[in-house]
Amino acid sequence: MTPDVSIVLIAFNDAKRLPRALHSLRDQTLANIEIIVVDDGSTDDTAAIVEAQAEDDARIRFIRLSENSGGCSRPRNTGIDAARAPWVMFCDSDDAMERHAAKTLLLAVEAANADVACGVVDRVNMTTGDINRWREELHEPAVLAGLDDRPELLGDTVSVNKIYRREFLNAAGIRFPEGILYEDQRFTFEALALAERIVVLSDSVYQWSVDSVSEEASITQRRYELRNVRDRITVNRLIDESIITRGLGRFQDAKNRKFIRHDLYLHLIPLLELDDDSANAVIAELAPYCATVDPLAALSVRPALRVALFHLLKGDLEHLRSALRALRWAASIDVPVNASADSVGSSGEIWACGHEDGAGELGQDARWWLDVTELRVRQAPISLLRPCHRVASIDEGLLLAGTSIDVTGLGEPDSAALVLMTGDRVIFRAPALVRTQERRWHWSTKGPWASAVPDAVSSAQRGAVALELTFGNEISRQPVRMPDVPVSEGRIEGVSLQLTEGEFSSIEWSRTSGRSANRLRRGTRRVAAAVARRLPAQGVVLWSLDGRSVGDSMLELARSLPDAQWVWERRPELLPSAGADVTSRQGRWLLGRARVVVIDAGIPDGIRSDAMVVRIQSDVPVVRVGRDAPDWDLLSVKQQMPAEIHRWDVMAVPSEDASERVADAIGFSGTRLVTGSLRGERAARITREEAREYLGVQGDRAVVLWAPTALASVDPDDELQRDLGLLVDNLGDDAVILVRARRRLRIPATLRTSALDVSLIADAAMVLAASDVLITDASPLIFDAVRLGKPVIAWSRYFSRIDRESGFAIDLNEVGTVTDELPAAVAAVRSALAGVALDPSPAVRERAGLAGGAEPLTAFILAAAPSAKGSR
Amino acid sequence: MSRVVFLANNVEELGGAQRVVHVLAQGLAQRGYEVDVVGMVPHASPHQYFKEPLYRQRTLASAVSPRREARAEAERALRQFMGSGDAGVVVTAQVWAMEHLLEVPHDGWRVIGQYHSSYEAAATGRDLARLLKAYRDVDAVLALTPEDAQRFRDHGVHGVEAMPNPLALWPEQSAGTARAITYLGRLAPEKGPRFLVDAWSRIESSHPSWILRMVGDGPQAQAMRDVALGFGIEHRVTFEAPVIDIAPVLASTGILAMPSLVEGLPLSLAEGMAAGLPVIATDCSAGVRMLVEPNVNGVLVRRGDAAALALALDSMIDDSVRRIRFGQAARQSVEKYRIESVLDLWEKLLVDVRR
Repeated sequence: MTPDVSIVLIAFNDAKRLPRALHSLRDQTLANIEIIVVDDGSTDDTAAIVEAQAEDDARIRFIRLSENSGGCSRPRNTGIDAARAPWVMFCDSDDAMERHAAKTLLLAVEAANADVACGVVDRVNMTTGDINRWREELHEPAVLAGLDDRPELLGDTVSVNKIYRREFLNAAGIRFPEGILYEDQRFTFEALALAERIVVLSDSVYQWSVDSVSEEASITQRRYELRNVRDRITVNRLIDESIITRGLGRFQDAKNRKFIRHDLYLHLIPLLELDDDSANAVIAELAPYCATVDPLAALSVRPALRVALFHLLKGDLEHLRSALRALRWAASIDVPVNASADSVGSSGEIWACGHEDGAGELGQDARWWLDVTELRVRQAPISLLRPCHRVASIDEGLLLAGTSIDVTGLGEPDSAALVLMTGDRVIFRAPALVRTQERRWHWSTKGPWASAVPDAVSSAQRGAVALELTFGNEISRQPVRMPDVPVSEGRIEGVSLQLTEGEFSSIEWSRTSGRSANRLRRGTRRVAAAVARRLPAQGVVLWSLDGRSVGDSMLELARSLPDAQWVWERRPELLPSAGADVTSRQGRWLLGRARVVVIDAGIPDGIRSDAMVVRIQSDVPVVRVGRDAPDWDLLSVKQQMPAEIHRWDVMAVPSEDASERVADAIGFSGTRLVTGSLRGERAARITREEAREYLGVQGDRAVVLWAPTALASVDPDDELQRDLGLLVDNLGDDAVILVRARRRLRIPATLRTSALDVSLIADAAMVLAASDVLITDASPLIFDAVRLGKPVIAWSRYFSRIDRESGFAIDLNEVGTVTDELPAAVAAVRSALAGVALDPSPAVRERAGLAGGAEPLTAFILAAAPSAKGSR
Repeated sequence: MSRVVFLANNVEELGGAQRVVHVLAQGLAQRGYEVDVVGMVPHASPHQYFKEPLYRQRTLASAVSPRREARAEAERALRQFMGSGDAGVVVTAQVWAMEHLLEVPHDGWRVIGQYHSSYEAAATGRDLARLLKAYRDVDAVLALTPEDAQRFRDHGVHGVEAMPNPLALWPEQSAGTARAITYLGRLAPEKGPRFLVDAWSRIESSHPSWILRMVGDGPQAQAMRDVALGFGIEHRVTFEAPVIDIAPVLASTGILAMPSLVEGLPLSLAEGMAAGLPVIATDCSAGVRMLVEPNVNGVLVRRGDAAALALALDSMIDDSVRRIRFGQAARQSVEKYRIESVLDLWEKLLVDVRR
């Protein structure tokens, strides 16, 4: 049977992410597809992965290019040539297709008898999980009689969110140009411009992975590099050629506008962050092409972008950057405006500053380019103007200084102040000085205002910092922004000013600690942290489970780091050793001073920015999690990827295998350290009797540790209750069942003589040491049990579903008995208790982690904080 | 493959969703499909929809209430049912039914999830969150109107498309001479009968030859009589028991009024329009907006606004030419919801879902 759609999946040395992309295609609701995987000469496991999946799924075809082509074009073109279906789609190995994409696009394009249909791309930030529907505004659902109906659709330049009639591509000879980046652009231009009918849908069809942190960021993301600028220009020249050779002159204007609005904008904004030499190199690449673009296209763009284009053409970097700041903060005005009376036109026109000589060569004279009348900087009330207040310096005492363009033309204000605001409310006002020079305000706070920070600050957690300028009875109060400041934060005790990243980069203030407020007035404590942070970094602080109780790995580590200090948020009942409260003078001192902070969950406030954060990862999942999971769910990304991961400098894991998997799954790109199992070391040292006493296990019955994760379970609460009842019925006479459930399980009173809830015991080693056998569906404790030589019975009613939805990272059959039936599980537990159990395979043992425990980690920490021993 | 299973909370009750299921089942069976209509739990007073059904009907649990035991029993029976015979297409009429289907193996089946109310209704209740979860992995989700489908799409439901409910009957064209404003539906707060009685009380004295007919039963049956009494218009309002065959009621109606606060795609409104009646309805769902084109085939008024309703009734009563014009347009505009047209859409869907 002829497939309905051919999906071309291209891959090059991306074996890590390819399975997710492939899964998203195999899982399409449109079943009658062919998946053409084109391997662009990979040297990694790509071929093995595809071949293995092709065994399971006859819809997969595999084409290998003998050598790497260096881009996306050749493999995609190869895929089109190989396609058998009447319709073609594309997918990249690092992305994923939405489940219904193929069917939704196919039904729509068939119903309209169109050549092309397009949906919406979800840009997924792999770090934060934020989803942005890319250029959604272009995708109002419609059936277009050609691109003439909606020329701005040219802004939808990617090829992966569309379905194409294969015959149309072939008849019109539409292919991806080889040898450049942005190959999508000419392809989509030609497809959209030549299509007789186009269907536009608002459905999300494609998940585009955006990895802003990772160094392996997708190549098209790197706008900063000169090659990218060059290729962007090249593809625009190719499109211009195509317009001529294919007689598409009617779209030239739309294409020019798209170039200025999207391509030029993308490459100009980075000039704010580049040094002058690099910026001038970018300008040299851009300017010659821009000079060929009809200036009239600039009429439809925002005035600041038009002004920026003018300065670009003139090679005037200073004025260009000024216009770019105005562009970046869309509502802010940073374009210097001519204030002298003679530069105000007879009809009230206002012109931006710039070098006006010789501009006629640019097709229009300078005043045409620099006309910014529509900004209404002279007519609008001062309170509505949005000058861009740039912070030039900030010091630890919160002395701020900066400059801004005097957009009012009024010169020095009657009075000025730096204000802290929450919402519209001013909660603190520090007097400021302003002097005017060359149409700029130069402003600064009058000396450090640290000592003046009022109680009001401590009552609110966050806000914005604004400059308040008073002219007569008009007040302008606009936030200050911090693009040019090398240090990213300033602090005084209890208050910090921080750069917040993002499109609207600005400074915010916040209290540095939740409980410090009422202690601000107390001299010694106030000084403690501030002084500590000024002193050289020293010492090691241990912070376990959000400062509330102690995890086993931390206890083990503490044993070999006798001089490390514990700091608590809430003092645990069973304190392993002395420690300090986070709110106490000593606690704040320790945190402010610490060179190394070791955590197993959560990061305490008040550590210095250069402190090394070492995160101990004890749990090694047995199912695929996070970004590794084949059905990685965009909606839950945020919960899986806490932002604090980026503050970890080092992650300590118990095995090589765990190191790879966990780091990939959570997107951790810092240093990884294989330590051996801290948990295992500790558990091995605890006797069974000690552990039983600690947990309160009565009598001398056997102990069965039941650790249900309830993965894939439909009604976990009900099922866990019922399963516990069944386990107790079957084993309760001979054994005590320790319940360690991921979700809290209420143990009915009738079962309490035979079942004990140990879910909240942070010291998992204690639980393991007390147990004789582990029964679980997919708990990470499997690895720990293997390490300790405890038999493991894997029991779940949902194995096939877990495997389908999450995917196991290990073969459970290598661990011990696997069953989906309770009687078999009970029998296996009984024989394990009688000393007969399946041994785990050597491979699994190796993956479970090495012996050796804390030593590698201890050595590492002591190397980083050599004075740790003397820190007391 | 031509096997279709409709799975619903219950398939025995006399209600809107059930009627749609049985009408579709009968229609598809007539077109040669092998159809099962399956209910999770029984209903206290079961209704027989067709004297000679061409489909199989069964209920999985024996106990009426959806308690834990009944649910477990239904789930066991469902597991057995889904595992026997050829896999085909299973259509769940409600989220609850889908939640149960997810608990039993259904490999090889194609799954379609319907939502029988408006997006507004889903978003204000807890349904949207449940729907997002339960309908995440299905092959298609059906909303009642294109507008609802778009709004579900915008809120993260994928694979959603529009499928209108079919009209169960295609009545005779009304003569347009009857002098009655008719309310057809349950007498319950969300249907807003109080606003209609209130509106009528404000204008009835100007229209002595007209009456208001309240056809239906429900929790507010007595309350509505009391309201009419309170307004002193008890002699101008008749209260009639609900009927299974509404054709005679429509034949003796001049204006159909629907004062609901919440609706999906209300069948009684569509049937009134099919009979060629002008309608006055509240603007309470995408379904209503899809049916009523203001000042072409009816009038839309703000929900819960008795004064606006009174004004709309007043001018409609006064203008018999307009009534006839609206009525003809109404009949024409619901032509596309005739059972044969909707069955064509279903046949295409059943092919598409298996592609």
